[in-house]
Amino acid sequence: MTPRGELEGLAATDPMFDAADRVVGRTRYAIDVGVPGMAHAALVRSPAAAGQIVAVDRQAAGAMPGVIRVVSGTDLATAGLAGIRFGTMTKDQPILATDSVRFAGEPVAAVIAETAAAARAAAAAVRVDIAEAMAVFDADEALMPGAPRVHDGRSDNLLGRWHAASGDLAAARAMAARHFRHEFSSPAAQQASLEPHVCLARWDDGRLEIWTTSQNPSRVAEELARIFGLAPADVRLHVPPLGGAYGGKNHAKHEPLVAFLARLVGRPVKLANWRREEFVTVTKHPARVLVESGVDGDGQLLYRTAQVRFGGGAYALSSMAVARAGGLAVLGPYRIPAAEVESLVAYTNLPPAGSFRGLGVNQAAWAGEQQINMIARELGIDPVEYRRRHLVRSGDRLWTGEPVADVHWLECLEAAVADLEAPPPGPADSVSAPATGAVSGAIRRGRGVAVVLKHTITPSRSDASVALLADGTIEVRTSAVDMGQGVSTVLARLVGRVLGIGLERIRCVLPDTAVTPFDASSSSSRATFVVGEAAQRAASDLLRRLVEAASDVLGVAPERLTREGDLLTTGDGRSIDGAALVRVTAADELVGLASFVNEPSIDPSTERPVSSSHWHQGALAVEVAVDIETGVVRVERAHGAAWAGEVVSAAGARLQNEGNVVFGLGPTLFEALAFDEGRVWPVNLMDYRLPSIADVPGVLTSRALEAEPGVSRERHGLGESLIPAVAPAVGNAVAAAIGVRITELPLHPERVLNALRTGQAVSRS
Amino acid sequence: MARLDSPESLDEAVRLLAVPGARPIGGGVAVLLRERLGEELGDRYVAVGRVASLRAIGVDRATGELVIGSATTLADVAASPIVRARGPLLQAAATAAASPGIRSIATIGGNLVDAPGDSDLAAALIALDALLDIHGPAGPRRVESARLSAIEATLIGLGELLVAIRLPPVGPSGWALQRIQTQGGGDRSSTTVAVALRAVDGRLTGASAAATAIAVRPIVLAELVASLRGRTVVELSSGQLAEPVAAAARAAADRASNAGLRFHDDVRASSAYRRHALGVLAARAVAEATSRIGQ
Repeated sequence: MTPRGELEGLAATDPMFDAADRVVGRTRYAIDVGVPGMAHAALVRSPAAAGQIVAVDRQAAGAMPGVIRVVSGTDLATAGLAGIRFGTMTKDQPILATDSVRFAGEPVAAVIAETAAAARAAAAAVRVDIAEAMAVFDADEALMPGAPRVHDGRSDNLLGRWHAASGDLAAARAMAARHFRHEFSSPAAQQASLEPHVCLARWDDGRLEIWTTSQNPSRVAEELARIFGLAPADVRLHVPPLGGAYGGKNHAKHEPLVAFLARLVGRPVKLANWRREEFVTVTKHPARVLVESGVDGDGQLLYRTAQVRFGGGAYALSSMAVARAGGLAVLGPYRIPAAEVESLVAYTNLPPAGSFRGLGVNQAAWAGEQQINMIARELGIDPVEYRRRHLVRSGDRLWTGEPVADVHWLECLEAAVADLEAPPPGPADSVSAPATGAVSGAIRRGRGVAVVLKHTITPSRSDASVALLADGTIEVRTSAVDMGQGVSTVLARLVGRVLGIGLERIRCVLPDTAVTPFDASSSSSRATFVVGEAAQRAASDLLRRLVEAASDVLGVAPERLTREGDLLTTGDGRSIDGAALVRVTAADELVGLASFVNEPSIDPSTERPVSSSHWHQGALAVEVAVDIETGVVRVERAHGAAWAGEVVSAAGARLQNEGNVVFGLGPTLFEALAFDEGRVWPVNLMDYRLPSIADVPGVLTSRALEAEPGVSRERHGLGESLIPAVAPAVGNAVAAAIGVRITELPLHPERVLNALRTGQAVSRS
Repeated sequence: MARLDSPESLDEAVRLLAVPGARPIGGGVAVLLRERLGEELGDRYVAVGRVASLRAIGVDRATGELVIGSATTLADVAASPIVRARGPLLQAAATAAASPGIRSIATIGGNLVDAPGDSDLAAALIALDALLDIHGPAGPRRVESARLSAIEATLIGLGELLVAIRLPPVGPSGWALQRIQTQGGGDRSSTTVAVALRAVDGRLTGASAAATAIAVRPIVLAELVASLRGRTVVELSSGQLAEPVAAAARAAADRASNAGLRFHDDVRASSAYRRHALGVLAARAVAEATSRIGQ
């Protein structure tokens, strides 16, 4: 752990813009936003996982105190919106279920009332009669011929398929001296941001204004304009600071419904999920992964293949992207002469699965990175050494056949391993020790590593504007969403660097589509790179305009001006600063604009674009202590190394890296959702536990690796570079500790104990 | 809306609680939790936190017992020097029982009365042979904390109030609290075992032990206590008794189960896992308690 003084020093020299407000409770989240005349909505949700809505009895609820209106699918039909489907990638989600219900928890009606409590009370009084139909909950079953169809209009439940192959697989199989085939699985989970989904909508003269907890303001605003037939300028969408998102707030959720409700009753309407509703709003994809590998007589990998099956739930959200991300990642960043991956995602009658920090790579790496250790062990080769032999270097080809440049997995691996092998920093007692001598005999320790290969959305566009105001303030305007990851701090530092202006004069405005320009999304760990590039270019554009304006005002050619920050000086000592220029030019502000797209390079051998403009790269090395009498796994040491290219904020990078590890421990050790006839449980944070400070490894270090100055220093976001490594690194360490390989997540004590008893992984029944 | 009274004297509290339907509130943790889980609330609550005597920790001069008012917060119990000195097992339980935020509002009385089966403090108090002072319409009564394990009825009836917890004047020679968390370090316990041993001249003269967090009531580990009778500290330290102690603890659980006690079988662990963990933790607790004898 960090000595207190060091953290305080970091906070002083490298402050996170919004940290203090968040810590003391000054931040105003979406749930704190109110507008005059606002009514409140509560949703009535389907108790059945599949079926037809026979009737929605609104009478009792409609008569309850404070109730303004009870709304069901028939109101949508009256408004001509029953046929509307929305979704960023696959338009399959109705605004409100009108005829079919496809998962337990799907909204079938809404109550609008004067208070949230009245709305909730009345929602409980709405009777929904559903003729239940056959449901399917498992992805493999959903993909079988004859399975109940989740969407009537489709011929099957295949929501998406991603496939790639390279090399001569048949020849590689024939040549291989040994073959390995293993199956791994991971359950559904929940993003569990402390702030739930909240949305407030109001209409004014045919224009829609909406406040929502969204990771992609621009796309959601576009979606709303399309649904309601509005000009883009007639939708104004605000995103207050988010209290966490972790992918769960990617893509439109309640926005179309709340906008519809507000229009229907002619009043602003606010909807805030209760905690239990979060568990049916979005989940993490459960997955089953079959990996096969073959090696030659020296143990060199000749081929790898994988079959990945994701359960997508009833609606697509980002399922296609998850299938692709998991498919790309499952074989790892290794030299593999022949490879093939098929990654499928199936519709099921479960709550929609969506983005979850790590986007499908978590489930994939749990499989691929454990199998690497299993192969190495069988071959009698140290798993770190085995990775060294196979990791791709710059100039190599990835398993897909595409070339990679500027990649540093080997450096990440070496750094993480070196840190694990070094004696723990600080006093020895900082390593968590078992409480008593009675326990120590039952403790087995083991070490494990894993590496991460993750793509970023390619191509994707971010626009930015940087304005100089008359009071000298620099305002950075982007639609990047600050959800605690520190993007505003990063953008301010990048802009300040270009302008040569201190952070005290720079502020980042919150996303507001009337003010902030287009941004693809705050996801995929893309903001530091793509939004950052756009913001820096906008800052350069602002500088150009500043110099032009100064040149006009001072009557001196631009090239004869010297600049220090926004202070421009002539050869004879006359000067003017930015604020004065704004006043002199009688404008409100001077604005620089830019747009940036992370275009993929072209693979010359195929003339096709590569899969990702750059690759997120990380490695994690851990040491665990397993109590063989109780099955409790404790991660005592964790050492991460992620490729940053160039670190913008040392404190921010470290928070992201260490946050990756702590976040990743939850689904590794205990976070899981179960479904009983499609009904999710647990649905509260008392039973669905998140990692706490008590789970943070006693020794936790991380490195954000940078390129040498002078060479390409393309910046990488660090939001996900270590998370996918947590589960397989811990799994590998547990296997090293107890000699038993567990292939199913999470590593719950009961599962570990059962594995110890039977010598093999056993399902928790 | 529920009615909430906040009396400032014990008499007034007892009088208010005599009204049919009235229920006491300590820190309100359980009530808030139920409300959040969507359960129906009662319509009449009596918040007892303003009764000064219920928040006091002190020694009864007549008996030498340590007396802890039922509205004392877990944080105050954990931080109390006199509890640390006289009842370190209780202090350990109060510290382990919840997160710091919850500890600062949850009361020892609320913790014991609301769900004794899940209370780390209940296990500790039973192991410490604590007594409970209860006031009600029929006047005060004093009961052994082991009665919290009664399967058929709640110890504290309608209209009654747990007023204070009494620890015996002389504490055990060795003690231990063992608990297991299956869902991370911030989770509640999935099995808790508390053991207190009394020894004179290297030989056990008495023992008490209880388990919680495995069933809806605490389990008094009578079989475990019986298995220790007459043992020497040397025997206990040898490790040879680990298996018999574990088996005895499980036998206690089986007895309670046969008597109709409902075991937890939930997201944290199956009842079979809890039964297994009970044995492991019991053996560890006895070993740990033994290691403290003579310290």
